[in-house]
Amino acid sequence: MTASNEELELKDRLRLIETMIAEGRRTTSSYGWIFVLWGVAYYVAIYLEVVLHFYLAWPVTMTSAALLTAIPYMGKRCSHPPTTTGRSLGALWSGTGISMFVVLFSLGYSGKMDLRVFVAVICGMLGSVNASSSMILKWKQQFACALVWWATTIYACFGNGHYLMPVYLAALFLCQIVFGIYCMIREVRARKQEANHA
Amino acid sequence: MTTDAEELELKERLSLIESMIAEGRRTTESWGSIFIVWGTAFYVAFAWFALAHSSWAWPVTMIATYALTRIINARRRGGQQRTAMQRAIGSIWKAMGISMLIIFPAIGFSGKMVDPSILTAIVATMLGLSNAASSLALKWKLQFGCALVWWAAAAIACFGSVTQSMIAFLIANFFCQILFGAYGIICEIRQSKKADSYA
Repeated sequence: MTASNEELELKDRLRLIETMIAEGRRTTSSYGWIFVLWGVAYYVAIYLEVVLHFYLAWPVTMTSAALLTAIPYMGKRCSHPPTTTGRSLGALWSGTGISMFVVLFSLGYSGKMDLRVFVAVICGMLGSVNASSSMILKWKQQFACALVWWATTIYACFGNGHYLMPVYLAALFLCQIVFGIYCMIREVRARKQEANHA
Repeated sequence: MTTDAEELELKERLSLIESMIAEGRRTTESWGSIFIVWGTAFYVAFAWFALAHSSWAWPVTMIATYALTRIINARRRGGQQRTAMQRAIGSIWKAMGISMLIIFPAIGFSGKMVDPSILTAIVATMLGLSNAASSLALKWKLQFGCALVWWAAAAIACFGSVTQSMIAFLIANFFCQILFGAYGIICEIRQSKKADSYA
């Protein structure tokens, strides 16, 4: 292969990766409602547990949120061609979902869970998954979410227990609700732009 | 775009993804030595902590292993092109590494979470997460098996005693780091032999 051919192939490859990254970002933006849904689900679960002392608060809320997330995609075939980035992101979030279920369920039923452990585990894992996704998509805003989650984990380890719940709720608000709404706004804008071009 | 052209594009894209998945698997196999290095590091840290009761055992071993991993990676990469799949898998492991470097010193030095089995459960879960994400992206059943072993170790750490959780972790480490790493190295040697015979 000549040097110019190699260069051309390299350029094609880079362009393809850039396209995949852009598509991946658009896909993540289109899942903005899922971020908001899970953010609200956490709030509902905390309310049911802390205020109403409903002992099945977490299993019921999390299962309902999982079903609500899955229902719109059941029996649907993806209308657009898949990308490698989309596949990787799907794998990442699926792995996170299963891992969270395993560790939170086990910690909860073994009686080893307290607020500090819960916040450290959940925020650490959400930090990791948001960081992975942001590195794949080269998305600074999502990396900022990862930083917020990691900071909350550190607070859970060192901070005052009295303020832990408000700190966790604030992180939840920023990284799930606000980020989710930001994604939804991006999607609406992209749709409008597409409609204008059409 | 016509239906035929769309179908052609979809087929091209799928075959490209398949080739990227195969490349991603080969890359993960080539990281076999890194799996073994980390598996051995866990054993060294455990032994050091158990024998000398040094609070430096884990931080020193983990930082030294991280530095070693960086050196191995820098030597190997040597300006090679990376596919989107390789980038994605690399990002998953990198983010997991950063998370572990943030979370575990924080848990260890704060001294507020005294039960060591909780720490074991978190490590095993995070390793399960990364292996699961990588295996689902690469369609690799063997690596998904490793994820299952890590999740099982996490569950044992939650329900069992401290000793049971340590044993579960050490066994999972042997299977999912040492054996899986050795398997990766063997696959890589086979691939390079094949490539040599074709050349």
